Amino acid sequence: MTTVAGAGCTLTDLRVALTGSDVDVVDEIDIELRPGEVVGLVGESGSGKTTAGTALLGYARHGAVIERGSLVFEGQDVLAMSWEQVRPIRGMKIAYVPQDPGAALNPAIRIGRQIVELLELHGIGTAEERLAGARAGLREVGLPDDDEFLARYPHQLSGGQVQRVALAMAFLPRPKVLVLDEPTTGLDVTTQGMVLRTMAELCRSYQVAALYVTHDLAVVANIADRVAVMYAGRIIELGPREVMFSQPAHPYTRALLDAIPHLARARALTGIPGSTPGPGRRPSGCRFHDRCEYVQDRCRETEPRDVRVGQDHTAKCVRVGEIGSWDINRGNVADTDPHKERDIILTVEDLHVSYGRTEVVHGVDFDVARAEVVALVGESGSGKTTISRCIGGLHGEWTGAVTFDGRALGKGARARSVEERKRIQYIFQNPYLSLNPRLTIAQIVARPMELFGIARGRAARDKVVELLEAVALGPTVLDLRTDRLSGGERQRVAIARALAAEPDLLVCDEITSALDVSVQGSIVALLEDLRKTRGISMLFVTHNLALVRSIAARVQVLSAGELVESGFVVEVLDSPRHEYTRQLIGNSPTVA
Amino acid sequence: MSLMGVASTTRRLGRQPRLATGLVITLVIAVIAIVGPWLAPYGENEIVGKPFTLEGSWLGTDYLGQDVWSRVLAGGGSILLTSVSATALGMVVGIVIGVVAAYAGGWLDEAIMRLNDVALAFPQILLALLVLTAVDQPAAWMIVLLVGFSHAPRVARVARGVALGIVSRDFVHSAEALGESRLRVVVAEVLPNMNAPLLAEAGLRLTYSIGMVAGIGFLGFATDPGAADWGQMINENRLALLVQPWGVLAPVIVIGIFTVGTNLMADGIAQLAGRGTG
Amino acid sequence: MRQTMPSRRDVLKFGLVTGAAAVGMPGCSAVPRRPDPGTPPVRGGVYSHGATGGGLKDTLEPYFPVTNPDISRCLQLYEPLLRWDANYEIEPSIAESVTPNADNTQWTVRIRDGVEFHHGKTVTAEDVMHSLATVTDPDNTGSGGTELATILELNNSTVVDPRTIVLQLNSPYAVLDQLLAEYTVGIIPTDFDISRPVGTGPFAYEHFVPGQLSRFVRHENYWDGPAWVDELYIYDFADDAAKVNALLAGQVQSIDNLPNYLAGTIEQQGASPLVSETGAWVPFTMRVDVEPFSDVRVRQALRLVVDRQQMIDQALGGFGILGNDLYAPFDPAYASDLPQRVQDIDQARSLLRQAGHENLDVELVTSSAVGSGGVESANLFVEQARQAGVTVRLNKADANVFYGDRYLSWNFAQDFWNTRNYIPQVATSSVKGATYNETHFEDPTFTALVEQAKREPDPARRAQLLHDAQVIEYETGGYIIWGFKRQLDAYSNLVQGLEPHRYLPCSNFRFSRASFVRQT
Repeated sequence: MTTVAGAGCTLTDLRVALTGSDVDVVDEIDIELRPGEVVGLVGESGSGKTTAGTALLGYARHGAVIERGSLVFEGQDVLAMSWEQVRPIRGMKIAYVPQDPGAALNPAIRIGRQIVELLELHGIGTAEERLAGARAGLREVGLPDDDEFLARYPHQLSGGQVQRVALAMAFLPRPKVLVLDEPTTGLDVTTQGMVLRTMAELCRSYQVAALYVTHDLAVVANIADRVAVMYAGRIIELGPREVMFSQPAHPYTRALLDAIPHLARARALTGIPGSTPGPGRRPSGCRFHDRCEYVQDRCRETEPRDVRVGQDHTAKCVRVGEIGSWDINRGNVADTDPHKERDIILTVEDLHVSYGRTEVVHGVDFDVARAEVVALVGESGSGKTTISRCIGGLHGEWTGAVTFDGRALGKGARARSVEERKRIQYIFQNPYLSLNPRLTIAQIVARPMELFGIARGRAARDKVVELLEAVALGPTVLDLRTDRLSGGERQRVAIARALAAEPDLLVCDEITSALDVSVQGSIVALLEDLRKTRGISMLFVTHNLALVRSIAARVQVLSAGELVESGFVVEVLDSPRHEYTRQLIGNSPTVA
Repeated sequence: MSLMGVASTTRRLGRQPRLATGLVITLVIAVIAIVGPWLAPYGENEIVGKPFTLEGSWLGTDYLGQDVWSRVLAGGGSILLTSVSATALGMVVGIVIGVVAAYAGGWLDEAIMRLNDVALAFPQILLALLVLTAVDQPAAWMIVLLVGFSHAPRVARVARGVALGIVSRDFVHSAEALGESRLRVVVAEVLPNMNAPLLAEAGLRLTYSIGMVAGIGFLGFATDPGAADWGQMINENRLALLVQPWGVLAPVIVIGIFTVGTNLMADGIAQLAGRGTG
Repeated sequence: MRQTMPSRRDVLKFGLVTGAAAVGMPGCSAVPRRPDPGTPPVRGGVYSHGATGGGLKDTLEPYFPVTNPDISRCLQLYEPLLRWDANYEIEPSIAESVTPNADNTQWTVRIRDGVEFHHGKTVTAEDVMHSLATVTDPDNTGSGGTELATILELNNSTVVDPRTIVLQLNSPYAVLDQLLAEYTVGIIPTDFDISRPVGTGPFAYEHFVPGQLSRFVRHENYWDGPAWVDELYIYDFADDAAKVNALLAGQVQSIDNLPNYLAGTIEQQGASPLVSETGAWVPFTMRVDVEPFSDVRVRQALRLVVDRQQMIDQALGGFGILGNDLYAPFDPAYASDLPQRVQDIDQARSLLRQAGHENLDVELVTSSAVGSGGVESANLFVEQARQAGVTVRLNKADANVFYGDRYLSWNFAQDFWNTRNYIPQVATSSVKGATYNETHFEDPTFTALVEQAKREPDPARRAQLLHDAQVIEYETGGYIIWGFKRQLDAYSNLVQGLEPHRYLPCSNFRFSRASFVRQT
């Protein structure tokens, strides 16, 4: 492949390894970035996507080193240059937008001044031109360009505005290549949508070759021209966006797509068993073979080469062409029937919640039926987690009535009966924080049983094994501490602990948001199974509308502490009545 | 601990030179202090020659003609026992105060910590000296109590800080939502997670304890005026520093090495803790 | 030879540096050797003495010296009627003679002819009467006048002529001469003014800074031979090391109270120790009126437990004389014929068994305030007593506690005493009502014997009475007197004339006899 000088760049045979070992972080990375095109680099945690992204700047994180490869940019190999030669190229010609671009802004300097300083640093234009450039840059990202805005400090901007200022600053030196490392992480869907669209437009209008690094397939589906999927340090499939989402060739890509919920239809999500192996723990042969449903003996032995599947489309799999085609509709299931009889177990009426003197939830009513999943959806600050904490007994400053199985619930766990505490279990968002790192899995899961007199000693341990099986964990983890488990495994332990109390209602607070999509898929599948087999009701708090479609029967849409719309999922998502719901659906990144 | 456990611990220590050095020094001094009386060539109060001469074993004699080396060997036990007990006491009291304050929160936290600040305003050794001057003959438990209590407010500060970071974690909330008793939440959920920073604090407190106990001995408040006590030895022999320096130097050197050891150990643990939980 | 006056700070600084260097490298610099005994004295020069202690309360008062520097200044300015010689025997001073009548109730003082005060006036009977009146002033009795005041009837005493006085006593007192020989009963002129203190001593006042130094010049008309040196400085030293360094650096020519462990060291560095016998003692004090010491066998046992030689060797660094549980060793009546008590553990055990105190357990209170040899001997006693199965718990009390409210009521403690003769010592320590009767000793026979001796004019019969009294104390007393300290001072080898003296340190502070050695 040849590249026109001054247009894009080509990364060839990149290998980054841990310093002083032959353990690779990424290997055999070949990718071409073309002007005016956005390439999405997708991978789960541990796949090496960030390492591959920063290698474009000739940079490897501490403890790793670029061992091999070339990056041809404007006819020169950047990776072969000395540090002094690379410096003027970095930031100027090849720019980088990090995960939290707001952190790169100096909090003590006004926005306008910061942008002007950036141009000064690169020696661009005269003083007037720089100011004009700053205004133009802000206009391009959809921000005001007046003096009042230029005089603001970073803390006087919203999260989305900060992100856009950072984007403007990345584009102002007119880079030829731009690497974006999940710059929209932590933003609400609405803001994220705007930032993404702005970025894509700028790339096209300035003919920038962009690499967008992300874990979120749905984001990529919206903005990328081409998509590269990384797994265990390799790009296992690369192709044009439409092809990648309609005819994925690699089993991993297919499994990943099967794990993604869709906004437009309810799907039975499936996860990928196991987790992505980190550097040093990757199997030989095809690195995906131990989790692959199409695995054959030769996959274990031979390292697959790139196989050309179609125009601009390659996949690293020896069985391409043998495993049939993939259909997005394979996992479709029917939405919950709105006319089904509901046996109400939890009623929330006129719930007002405050933190100190600030009221954050202003009169919310909804209910949950037996064996039903009800989703609470909203952007950050909408009060969805606050409501769930009130119901879970973790927050006591509220008024209104919460009735559980006919009886009014007390405020806070200590005001409730043992029976109530047992029947309502709360699962936290972050499994890295919700499990005591000093206790073993067996101790953690057995504790509710001891506390509620369900079982103790030998019997409790047997039950723990059962519960771990139910959440797809083997008895080998019994005596381990949580630091030996992956995030997904930890969340399963947290679920097992909740199940140990034999609850009737699970309050799940964004329990999949800290997890990779493939893990999220399997957790969702697990919850669905528990609901069916044990008849457990769930209050499912999430910001992900697509996930709601796959898991919930009913949905409550929250905005700024008020319920704007509620009803059966199929009705709310297919024919939203409230403007806010429509906006939310419109901004949600979606695969198809 | 299994053999493999020992091996892996040794390996881990090898990667922590500070901790390893500190631990080795501390252990060596502690062992000397414990078995020293049996290794001593002469008795603790045995007269071996003229005062302040180089008679006796290699470090010469002290102000009474007792053997300096034998007294150094014999004098570690009391300082070790006293400072370890005082540290333990200070840690327990301080942790209880700190954790209760952190877990209770609100006005109780405020009240406890303000009182604690008042206690902190007193120089550590001052209160001890006040009490010791008032009594005829200080008993060992008194010194343990005084040094221990003087540590408590400092430990409480650290313990509260550490506990604050833990009581806000979800697993604590989770235990509360299950309806665990407050005592159990503190004992089973909060305390075990404070190990590393508190261990580092204990090492630091031990350093101060040694200094304080030696200081109290030096200022003449030793429990037994005749006993070999490192602090007291410095006082007894300081006048003849020019004639027979070992009477002063020997205890000064062991106290110095001991405190450097415990301090390195505390530093090492703190580093390990910072790395381990990060 | 004229020196500019060094400030005390300079002395300390310079002394520390050179002293430390000298100690570190003995023999590296040429050090003067001790002069030959026959070397003739040289007139002139400025002599400096380093005195131990002192502070802002330093005084030039003739009758209220407190600190060691005070005492050393007192000896330069003022002189009593009689004085103690180097053997602790009385010799005439301002008085030619002091003689009692037959029943010791009237004493005739004959004043030496032509003794001059520093301001030129000759000493007369009025001056002596004035001095005695001042020191015994009931409103402000001087430390040397306490005993005098109880016996002297100044109103009935008469001035016979300008050189003769007859002192009337209210009761017979055999050793009035001993009271008049104390340095605290110096003679001052009737026009005495403390802002410009005047006496008859070998040096006249020039300059005084409390806590730091004092300067004196030679009294040219001194009756006992004018001083060799022109000027005398006395510096205060709070710190032993600084004092010794100042001596070794040549900043002072003599120091008092050299720490005994330094005796050997300074000899290699151009200075000589001056060792004197004294009657100073550091006893253990047992209260004879409380258990278990009320049993005389316990007291005897504890006296037998002591290894006296070890006490002297270890606690005093060898600078001591054996004690025999009796005080006043220089008194002509001292019972030196009583057998020297030595350690006898078996006898001690047996006595304790008889007393029913086989496993005796007692507390011994000591304090660093007792001075050198105090805490040290207490520590040794603990070990020595252990051999006899006696457990001694040592309580090292703070100085303020030790000499606080409970002083004189400790059951078993220590104290320190300076040289005294027998009768004055008994009066302060061993009879009912004595100021410092720490052992609560109160024996009617003993008291009667001493009272009788006070009245007895015949020295031989008096000695016999006192001997009988000493036997009682030897058998039943509450003191364990294991030894007497030797006084250790030091002087530079560039000076001579200082001799051992039993009364006060540093040759009785008699710097008028000191002179520089001619440099060759």
